[in-house]
Amino acid sequence: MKKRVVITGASSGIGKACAYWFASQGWQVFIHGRDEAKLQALSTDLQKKYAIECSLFSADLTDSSTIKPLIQQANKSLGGLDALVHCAGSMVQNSLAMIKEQEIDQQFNLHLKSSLLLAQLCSRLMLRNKKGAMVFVSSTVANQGAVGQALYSAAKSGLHGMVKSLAKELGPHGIRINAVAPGFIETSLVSDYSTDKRLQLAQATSLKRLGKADEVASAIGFLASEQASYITGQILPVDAGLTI
Amino acid sequence: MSIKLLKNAFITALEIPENEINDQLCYSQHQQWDSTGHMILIAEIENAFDIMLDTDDIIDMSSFLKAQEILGKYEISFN
Repeated sequence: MKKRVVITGASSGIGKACAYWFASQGWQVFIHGRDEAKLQALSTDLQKKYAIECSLFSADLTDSSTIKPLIQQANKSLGGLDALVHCAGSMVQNSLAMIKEQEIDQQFNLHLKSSLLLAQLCSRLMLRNKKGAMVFVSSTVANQGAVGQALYSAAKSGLHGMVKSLAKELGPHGIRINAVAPGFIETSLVSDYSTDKRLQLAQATSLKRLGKADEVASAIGFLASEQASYITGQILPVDAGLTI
Repeated sequence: MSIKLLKNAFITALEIPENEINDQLCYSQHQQWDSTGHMILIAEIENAFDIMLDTDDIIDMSSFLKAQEILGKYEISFN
């Protein structure tokens, strides 16, 4: 039987790369994003390239009322669930004085509240088979901090506590919980960075380059797969040695 | 039919014999129905009836009798 995965934030960046990774490994894929047209194009491409089943659901996860319908639809389409990959995200980069309260709610809803609600719903589907894996996408700034990223890092570091707690709570039921912490990856989150800033960021890594979304996707895929069957509660840096 | 499904969910999830399942069976008053058992029970009930419960209903599901009442909200009849 094919493995089944829900991937949020799949219309671009790391989420999209994950959709290709899992499809290439023969998984049944259920993709989520905000842009339905992009999701539809991705779904068509995945089905054409890999001859897999791929359904989609378009929603803004900052609206928590969309999360239950998302997982209900995924369960209906996939007939169960083996893995959740939660990539949906956005980054607010503002100095402390310029952070709006509305942005605080948006970031905490997107990075933390949605993670908890998704974990709640998905764990109940995984409990049916007493097996499953969830992988969340954090960031190196969660531990390191960065100027202008107090809000983003606060939300992401909260995710680390959630991952470790859920790993302890759900481990006895065969459910593994992990996260990846990407460094500087070429995605839309950093698309407005100047060339100078990109060079500067690349120099800060051991490998002297920025990362690609598919390099994060393969790490996520590993953590979701049986190859990582003895790994839970971990935050795996995917950062070219940035945080060594 | 529904009551049999519900009983089976309790038997499977909580690993208790059928003769211990009655309307007085309550959360935290039976050794097997603790917070862990509750989580497994909810998964079993959702699987048995092909539903996804709201969080408030999961928290409120404090007895076998209450479970029947709550499932009524999901168009499951026990009459």
